[in-house]
Amino acid sequence: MNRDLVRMAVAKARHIQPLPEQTVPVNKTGLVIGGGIGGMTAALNLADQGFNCHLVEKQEELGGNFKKFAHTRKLIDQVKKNKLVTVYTNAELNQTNGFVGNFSSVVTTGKGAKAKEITLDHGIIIIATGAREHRPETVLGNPIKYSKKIVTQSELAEQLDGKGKNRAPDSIVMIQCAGSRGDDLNYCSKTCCTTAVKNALKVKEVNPDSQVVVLYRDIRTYGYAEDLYQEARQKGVLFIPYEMDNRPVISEKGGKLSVSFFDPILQDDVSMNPNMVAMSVGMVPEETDTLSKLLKVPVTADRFFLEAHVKLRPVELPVDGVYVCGLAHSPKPVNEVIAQAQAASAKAAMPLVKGYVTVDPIVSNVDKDICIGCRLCTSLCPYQAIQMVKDENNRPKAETIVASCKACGICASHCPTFAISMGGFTNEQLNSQIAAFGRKVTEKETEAA
Amino acid sequence: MVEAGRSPNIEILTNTDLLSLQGKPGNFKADIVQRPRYINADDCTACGLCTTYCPRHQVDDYNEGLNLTRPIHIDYPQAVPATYYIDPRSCLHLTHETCQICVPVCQSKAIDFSQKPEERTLEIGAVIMSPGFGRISEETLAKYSFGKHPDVVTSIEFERLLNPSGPFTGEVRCLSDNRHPHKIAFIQCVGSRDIGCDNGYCSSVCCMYAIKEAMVAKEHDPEAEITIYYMDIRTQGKEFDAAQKRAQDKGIKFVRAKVADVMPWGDHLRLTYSTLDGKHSFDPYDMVVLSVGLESPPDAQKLADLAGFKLNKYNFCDTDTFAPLATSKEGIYVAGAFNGPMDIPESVTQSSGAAGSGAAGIASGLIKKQRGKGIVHKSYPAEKELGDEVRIGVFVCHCGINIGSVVDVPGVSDYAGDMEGVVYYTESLYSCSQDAQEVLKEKIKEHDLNRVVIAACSPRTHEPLFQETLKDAGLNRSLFEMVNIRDQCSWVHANEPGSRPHGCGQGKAHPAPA
Repeated sequence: MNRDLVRMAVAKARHIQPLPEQTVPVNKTGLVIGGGIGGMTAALNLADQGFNCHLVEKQEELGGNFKKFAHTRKLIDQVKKNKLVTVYTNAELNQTNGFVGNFSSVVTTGKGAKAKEITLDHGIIIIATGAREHRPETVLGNPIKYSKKIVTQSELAEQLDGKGKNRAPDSIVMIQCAGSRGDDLNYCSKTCCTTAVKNALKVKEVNPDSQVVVLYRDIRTYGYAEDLYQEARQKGVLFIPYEMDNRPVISEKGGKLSVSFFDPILQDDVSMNPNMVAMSVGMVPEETDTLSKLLKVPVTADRFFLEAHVKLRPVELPVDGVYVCGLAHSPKPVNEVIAQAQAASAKAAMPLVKGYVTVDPIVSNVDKDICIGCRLCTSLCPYQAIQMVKDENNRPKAETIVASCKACGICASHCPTFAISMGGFTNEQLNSQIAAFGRKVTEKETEAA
Repeated sequence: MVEAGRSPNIEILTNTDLLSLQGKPGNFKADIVQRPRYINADDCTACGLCTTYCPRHQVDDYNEGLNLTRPIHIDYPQAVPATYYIDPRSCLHLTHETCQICVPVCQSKAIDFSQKPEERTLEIGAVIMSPGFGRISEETLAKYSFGKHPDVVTSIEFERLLNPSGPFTGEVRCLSDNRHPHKIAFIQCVGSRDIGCDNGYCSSVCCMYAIKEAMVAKEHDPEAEITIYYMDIRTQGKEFDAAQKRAQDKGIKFVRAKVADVMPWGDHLRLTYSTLDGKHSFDPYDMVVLSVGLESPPDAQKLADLAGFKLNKYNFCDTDTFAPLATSKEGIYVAGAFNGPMDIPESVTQSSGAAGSGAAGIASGLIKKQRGKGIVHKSYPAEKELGDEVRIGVFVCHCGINIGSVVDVPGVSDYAGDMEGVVYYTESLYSCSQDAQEVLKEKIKEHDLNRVVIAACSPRTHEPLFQETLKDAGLNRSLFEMVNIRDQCSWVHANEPGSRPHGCGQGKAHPAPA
């Protein structure tokens, strides 16, 4: 096997030729999609480094999931004041053409009659489209009707932050991994355990006599959040693990809540009638499918954007010039979102600072003497990377736009006259590789004979 | 690392201590002292001859003290800089003024015992603190018989045992009697989530690395019985739950329990644990791996005092939720585990953020003002003209045991040598190491190669590196062909009986790979 591979490579190597190196100038403007904490942090960072930046937000105002944070309000203020950042609200990306350094995007902005399309030119793209709270209709096999008594952790947090007299109920059960880790979504949302522990502590702070029970699979208060977990236990919050083959049963009858579960310490089933049940639900990415198709960047099975390399290139996407940060990449707490936004803008600033990018030399190449001008290639090219030009005899000939070409080879494989060849993958090179592979069969036959 | 080593804009100062740091953002002065390595980095070719002649043995710190090296050595083949080093604690000349055998042995006359510590002052605009993490104290480990029985090892030691450049060249063996362990236990949260040793925090990475190590051990010996004792499995990162599921599917057992103690028991170890139902049980094991947490770095306090930033109560760098990469001192940033225990993706993310926009954002345009000052642009030699003659060089890589344990690398290399157009062929242990790049450059020149074929790992990760070397040698980077004999050959055939000429497998006593 390995010998076949090496023999084939050597056979090809005999025919490889140097390819010219090309550089393309970069438009020193950034496009950030998503105006939450991550997007705003990234946009401000680009601006602080002296680059113009378009910030596109789907909703009416900036802020994303954490509009209420004082820090978010500060960021919104800074973004609005910054002359280098142009904000588009009620805006969505419709179309993007081009390549690193020279993107051109069509954005619709405004609503109804005021809606208009604008074209933005930019050199890089940072995706910060975020995620939203997941609201599973079934939790651990129990159909759930959200109400004042059955809430999500974010709703509980809001209630606890309010001024209501009975905002911290006398008894509350929290259900961890509600809809996560194989229940409905397949993944862990990373932040729900810490949020639940924080809320449990707040309940205890407002109403120290409240009975708080947290039903969990694994408590994931990683890092320093472990201190909060310990504090919660010291303050009397009960943490009871459940197994997926013996899940808690949640029901509501005549306005009365009932939660029953197996207590592994008592080794017995326990039933409770809490005043409130809080679901620790996970998060789901915001419409990554559309953007993934528009920008030709992949998503994972869980629909988060898939980075170019998990360890070594954690904020770059496989398409050059496209970066990701925040919850669109994966669930994470706000400090990690900010660090990632700073990383994405740092990486994105690299081509902007340099002012040029080097294009991979492997591109398609049209032999104009053989081309018959049939236009088959221009119609097939998925990247609009082939244009028709006239030769000196005024005959139409195909020509590759080198910077747009992604070297997919569709044009070369469809050209009826073999006028198109791919740099580094010419017919001659590939044929010699195939011939070299076949040679083993002959050798074996000879041995057998 | 190799990339950093190549950049003309990064000066790497190893063996160096910070003495003082003064100034303000955009204008810091750092006094540093570089300790002598007693080898001239520019002259050393990393050939390794000196190590074979050095008469003194010393414990190999890089391999967690699990095997021996010599005072003159390099930690591992891909080390950057790819320069040997003399350990002043054990070198006979430096301790007793004798020996000096290495001096005449070195062909490039790189050894220089006259080197003295060198003090320098650096003028810099911003500082990033990334001293990494420290070790959990032996006192904490001793609770699990670490130090009393050789088969109780830390996860870092176990990582070395699994590694092809480790003490048993990738075979997992008990340190007591060299047998292959059949039953292995991992104990989680050693030195983490433990107020007994003042580490109340969770180290965030141990669950995931324990799963990884268990999987690799299971790959080495599919018959091995591996149990992970845990309080909570914290695989909270992207796609991490899926990794735990794969481990369970592979037969790795997860037991929610608190381990009370580990006691020597005949040639085995007895592990006592209590489960949630209040029962106490004990199980015998051949080897016990302690999943040690990440401690704050040993010089954290010193750095903080020198630079004037704050530490948190666990002696890690203190940062704010909304400015996660800024220390309490303006112009000084932090990245990696010193900013709280974290894994590789998070560290890489933080370092990008800290290096670029973290600095720009917080120091209000600091980078903008000074951008481009003192930058060196890398230049390449002119590309040489291609003659008509095809002169191919073939380089086959062992990738440690990754390829070498399955593929007959010398055979492949000889086979390539017989082919038309091939004028030079060779094999190497790690083609990606910095010194291997130098060798590649030399060979291109020496044999006037005009095409290069490298049979190694994935072009996805390594093609740019080799192409860069081609450019350095005056060849167009397209005159390069890469064969992936790792993903497309050795990994595919890794589990086929008889396909391994020598072993990473446990169970059978294999001769060590060359």
